[in-house]
Amino acid sequence: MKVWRGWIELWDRREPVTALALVRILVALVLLYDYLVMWKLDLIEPLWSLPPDGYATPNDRWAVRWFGGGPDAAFGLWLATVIALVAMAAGALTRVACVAFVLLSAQFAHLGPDADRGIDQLLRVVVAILALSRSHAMWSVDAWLWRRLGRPMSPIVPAWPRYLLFAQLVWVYFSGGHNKTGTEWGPYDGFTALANTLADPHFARFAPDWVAALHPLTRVATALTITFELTSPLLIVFTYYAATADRPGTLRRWCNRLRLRAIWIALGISFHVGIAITMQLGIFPLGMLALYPIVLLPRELDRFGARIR
Amino acid sequence: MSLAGLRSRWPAARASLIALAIAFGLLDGCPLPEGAGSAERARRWLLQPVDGVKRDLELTQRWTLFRKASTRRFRMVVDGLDRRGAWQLLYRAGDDEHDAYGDMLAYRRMRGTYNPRGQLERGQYRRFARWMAQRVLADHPELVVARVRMERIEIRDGTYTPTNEFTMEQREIRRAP
Repeated sequence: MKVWRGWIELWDRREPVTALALVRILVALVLLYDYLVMWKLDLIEPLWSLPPDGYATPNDRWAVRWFGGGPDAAFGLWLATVIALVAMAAGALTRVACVAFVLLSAQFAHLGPDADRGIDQLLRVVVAILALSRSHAMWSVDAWLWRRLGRPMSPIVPAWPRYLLFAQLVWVYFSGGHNKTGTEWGPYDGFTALANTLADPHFARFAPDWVAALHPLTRVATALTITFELTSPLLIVFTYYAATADRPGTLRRWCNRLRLRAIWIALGISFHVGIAITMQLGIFPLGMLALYPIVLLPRELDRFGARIR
Repeated sequence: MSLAGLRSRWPAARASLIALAIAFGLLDGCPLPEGAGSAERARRWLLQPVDGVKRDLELTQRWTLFRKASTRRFRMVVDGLDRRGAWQLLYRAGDDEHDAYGDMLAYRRMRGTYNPRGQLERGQYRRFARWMAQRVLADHPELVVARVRMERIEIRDGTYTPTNEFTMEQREIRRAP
């Protein structure tokens, strides 16, 4: 009973909305960038139209049933998605925009199952959680409007959506780690996974000469990557220890003193920045980094905000 | 029940819903050894209540970025046959001198449809390859045949060696006007 009460209390906590508002804006901007790149490269028609105009997969979902599978329907869906993302970033009718994005993005997934990457699936989950949150209580048209109407939104909101996003991020890394079944990720094949991936011409941003020159370093990076992913659940413990630093406990004291949480976050950031520099994975690194405000404690974000101001 | 009564019960209801969502997520993402048929069947049975949402919204909790990083990979090659019978190389992955369509093919969603999953072609690959070859014929009136295929490469010590072995070939022939 005590555990259950603790569980209810955990999900009933409240905190400043800063992290959720930041994630809403950053995720929307990253996705918007991706959809604009698609338009710039003239890929809306090939990706989302059925043959012969494009190479989308025939299906009987609502988008195809209602609008058909032609180029006009593809452009219409794309435009609706872009409008939803602009509204999400601006915080205008935020919850409606979030729900619209999730539904539209799922239709794209049905039209192009192979074009729907892990980051698309992850950001659908994230935006669905944001739709249930009060991420629009700050830096949004919604908040401005309510203020003008004399009923300002409280900047202190339920914390559970951030906790859930935090758990999702940790699970993505942990699941990514335990699903890496290739022997190249382990000592049996000498931790060669990153070198192999960086030399793969479908992913590499640069010619692979530099990979050969730095081969030992890529092995260290592979070992670090797999360690980082498999130990990601520890981030929950490190964050709990950081949030309750004034409580007693040797392990807590040592974790905080060794700054294990900061090291883990720095590793995560460098992992994604490294991917962004060396590989052509599209919005994957940016989309992941857009979630990082949720790993910071509210007081850290406040300090960061004050420093910027 | 009064509104105040409902409100007082909401935290417990919310905590229950969150616990349920986490349980379904963990069940979906939980790693099972290959060949564990009965466990997989049990998982599918337990996930039945959320199966519709999972399928409609294409959601998963199994994250598999670079699950394997094999040394046996591929590079895509796009070329066309002109009227004199010579093959013109238009695009080859990782080759800066043959980079027609490079920006387009590097876009993540495009690559997702042609980059083989392990050693196998993806579900959308044939449709993509046909579309790509037709696009080449439309862009290059001098070509009579367009071809999209994968060359096997061997990756070793951070560099790759082409093998001149091709697979997953798709050809499109220009139809008479």
